[in-house]
Amino acid sequence: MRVLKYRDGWTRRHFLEQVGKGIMAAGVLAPLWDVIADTGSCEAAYPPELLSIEAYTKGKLKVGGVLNADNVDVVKDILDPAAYYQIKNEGRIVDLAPTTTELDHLTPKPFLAATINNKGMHVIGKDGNVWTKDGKPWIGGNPFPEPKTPQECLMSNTLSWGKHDCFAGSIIDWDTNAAGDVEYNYNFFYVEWNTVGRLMLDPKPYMAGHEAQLRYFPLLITSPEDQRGTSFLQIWAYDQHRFPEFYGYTPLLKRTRSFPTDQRFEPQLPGWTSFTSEAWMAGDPLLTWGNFRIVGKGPVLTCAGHCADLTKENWLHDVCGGKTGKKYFRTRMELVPEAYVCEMEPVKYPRSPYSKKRIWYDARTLNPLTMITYDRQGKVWQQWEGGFDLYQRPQGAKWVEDVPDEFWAWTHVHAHDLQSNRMQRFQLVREIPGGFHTDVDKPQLFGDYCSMSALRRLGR
Amino acid sequence: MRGKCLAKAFAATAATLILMAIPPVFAQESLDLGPVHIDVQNAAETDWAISTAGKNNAFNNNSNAGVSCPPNGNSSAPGCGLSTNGNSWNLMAYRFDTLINGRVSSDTAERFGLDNWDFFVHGRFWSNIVPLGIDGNMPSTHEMNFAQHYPGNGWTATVAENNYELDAAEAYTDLRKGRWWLRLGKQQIVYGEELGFQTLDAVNSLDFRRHSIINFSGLEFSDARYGTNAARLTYDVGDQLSRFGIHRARITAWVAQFEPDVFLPPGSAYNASFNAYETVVPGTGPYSLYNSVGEASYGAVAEWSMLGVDFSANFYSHPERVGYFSVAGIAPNRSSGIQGLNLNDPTGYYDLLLAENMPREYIFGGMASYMIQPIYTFPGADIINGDIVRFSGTYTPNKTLAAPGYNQQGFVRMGDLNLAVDIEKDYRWTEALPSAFILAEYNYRSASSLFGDTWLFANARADHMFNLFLLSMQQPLPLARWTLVNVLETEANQNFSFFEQPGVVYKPTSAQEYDVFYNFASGTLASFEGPFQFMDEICIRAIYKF
Repeated sequence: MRVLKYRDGWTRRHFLEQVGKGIMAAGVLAPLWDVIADTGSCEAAYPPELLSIEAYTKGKLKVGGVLNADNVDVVKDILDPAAYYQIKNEGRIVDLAPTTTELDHLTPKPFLAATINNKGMHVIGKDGNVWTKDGKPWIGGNPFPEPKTPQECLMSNTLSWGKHDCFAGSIIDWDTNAAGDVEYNYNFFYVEWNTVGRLMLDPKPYMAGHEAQLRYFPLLITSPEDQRGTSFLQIWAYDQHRFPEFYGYTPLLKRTRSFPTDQRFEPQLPGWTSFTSEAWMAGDPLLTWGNFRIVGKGPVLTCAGHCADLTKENWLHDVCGGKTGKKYFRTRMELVPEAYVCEMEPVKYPRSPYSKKRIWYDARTLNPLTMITYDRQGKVWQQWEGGFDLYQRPQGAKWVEDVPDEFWAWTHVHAHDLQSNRMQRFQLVREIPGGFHTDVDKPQLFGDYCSMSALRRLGR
Repeated sequence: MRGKCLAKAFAATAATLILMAIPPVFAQESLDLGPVHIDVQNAAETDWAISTAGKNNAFNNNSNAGVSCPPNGNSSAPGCGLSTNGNSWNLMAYRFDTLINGRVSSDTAERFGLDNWDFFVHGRFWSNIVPLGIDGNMPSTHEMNFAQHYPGNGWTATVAENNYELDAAEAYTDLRKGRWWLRLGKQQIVYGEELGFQTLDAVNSLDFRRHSIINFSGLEFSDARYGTNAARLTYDVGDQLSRFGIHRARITAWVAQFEPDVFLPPGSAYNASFNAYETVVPGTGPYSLYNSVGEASYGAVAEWSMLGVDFSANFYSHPERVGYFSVAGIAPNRSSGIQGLNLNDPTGYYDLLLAENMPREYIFGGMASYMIQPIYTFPGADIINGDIVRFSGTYTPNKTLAAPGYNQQGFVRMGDLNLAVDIEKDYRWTEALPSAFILAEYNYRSASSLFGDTWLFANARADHMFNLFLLSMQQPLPLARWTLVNVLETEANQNFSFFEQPGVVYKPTSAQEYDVFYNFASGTLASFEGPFQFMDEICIRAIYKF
């Protein structure tokens, strides 16, 4: 039997007090990373009511149950405002999953190991970038397992989006009107290839000649017909003041060429409610934003794990909500015991339509979970909700050979424009037509997709 | 006649409305045939162009030859067989495009010693039905006037008759092994980053059969560029030269079958090249069109980045894509009653035969492109922040230009400098609108004109510079469902002229697109844009993708 050592409201007061004092230290019962280093789990760092939705709601909600308009008010205080609106007013249904406590289910294992091994080896340079103590680019893992400032949360996010050396994602996207009618449907494929902080692929930790870069990020659209063969290549500088180099091939121009790179707040395709700036929630060079601050700390109910549907055809999620019943993915949510709520402002974008972004980071991994953007009038504008899971090959289910039997990755994104009520939702799938499949840490991905000649070759 | 036109137009409108009413289907067919994964995507499109010019196309009505054709109605009067006087429609085209993509499985590709093995076929059918009874003032132009059938070009995967074309716009396979990549088959080969001007984009010829030269500017030359059978080999040097500060280097070389430019013939609403009494014939001698078609087009390009600047060095060699024309004689008895040259011969009218000759040219050029990081904060920095500044240039030492007046001596050869400077940027006017894409370009040519043909002929001078300025803007509205576009092209070489194309693009679903744009040109017939004054029109495109 576990004894509740703390009375009602203790944890809430604890978090409020910490935020009030500007303390970011994670862990309630014990320092989080001491516990993780010892056990690989976060369980001993939190009281039971932060590790179980049933305990948190005193039995009103249970794992395996459904969160809907009838019972969502019970957890209103730990949902982001968009998720609450969707469930309360739009018929979104969410399945409740148990809290994931094993850290290697919440982030890739090599990344977790590097986070522990490389702890304390970083410095923040005068230029605001992260360097090793001998002035080189970061060597891998999360340099800030115990962040002391909100900027460190965000920098961790920026340094490695997907937390793999490289990741290839096949994506299907559906964009709906307010009622949930699907008006746009796109297929695309991307690769995130990190040139520094490499943990699995040789050469490690840097690709020779690429130390001044952070990542290659090619993206290829494969459907519909007029977009087929549109491909882009972003090359990110390590210096987070600099904008990425941006090359593209479009079927209308039939050639590779450079494009302006500072269009961060535009829909890249008709119908999209998300902008380039939203990629992994902090999709711009970080030091082009500023006024970083922490505005909250505490539990959050969101899609941190258990979100993949690996036994379903092509991993496609069920849908729900809206007048058509097709507006939202039917996702799972779990209680995350501790999240940092950080804000930042677009200080280098004089005509940004945003006044700020608010991002919820899992305190255990600094993985961005969900985000709300605010317009210039300070009104809630958009939600970007991510889902995540540890992908484990199910017996008997279709699986692309050569893809590892187990890997951690994102599962879905809801990009909801709360002012127009339009929705863009997309998810990671096993494969899309054209022969492009999701994969992880494959050295051939660089030659296949990350060069200028690949950009031209993949163009149609 | 107009009532009949309208009835047919209404029928076509009804068909289009039915097309629009079809709910979006988001499906692309895909299947696995053994080790090959194939997916197919299709698009059906209709393009309508309604003339607003209010004047008759002087190139078609033989007024230059002293023939006065009736103001309305296609006449059988001698010399008026290709008249388009009084036409209401410039175009009512229907087209179907299919894209077939294939990817051979990794295992099979490896078995053949390859890393990737893909193939791609773009099938295309196009038909303009205006001359087929939609507009009685539009003649059905004869296929030979397309000047498209040459000995030796039978394997360009094209079938075309009077008013339709069926072809494989591209059909190629991609083979990659390590840093080597070979593209083999019918393909477009495009270099240079300038848009709308063909400075470095001078490998493939252009085929204007499917639409006017001006077309919808957003398409640039993608549908007009003539894919040719070619073998193109690229070696991706990548960052192997990074110790010298050279990044992302690659070298490409190709050899292709030459195909000449294909212009619309007299009798087309968009004819701005030839008078109705002129007939192009292949010519004789070493530079004749027939001989040129069999020749090889070849070239090489090196591309790299250094000090934050993207560079290219380009070399092309091929027969002139337009060539020069010289008088080859007259023909008194051409069929179809279209002969028009009045030689005061009581027995009838004559055609003027123009021989098309295409000597080989060698083009040397290069490009530098630089993006200004959008990080500056001084007053007015907005003007330069994020701009891409580009310079492209070529020199053709032996450019062939027609001698003034098509004289029998034929041509002169001289060096031709072709330079383009452009600046493009995304600019956000307000917080409420997505960024506008703005492109400003300037093109200078010392001898030739935009499409590489002679500038001497149009001005009947021995030498002349060619200057063209282009300003283009695209302003998407929120969600990018609607986009407003405007293109302005102007020149003041011999006489001031300009072309303007405002338009609206609407994509209500990913399966549908509707474009409306207006083509307007003004200038004298001796100017560059002036001949397009007969093609002022409102154009409507509707595309359905499935």
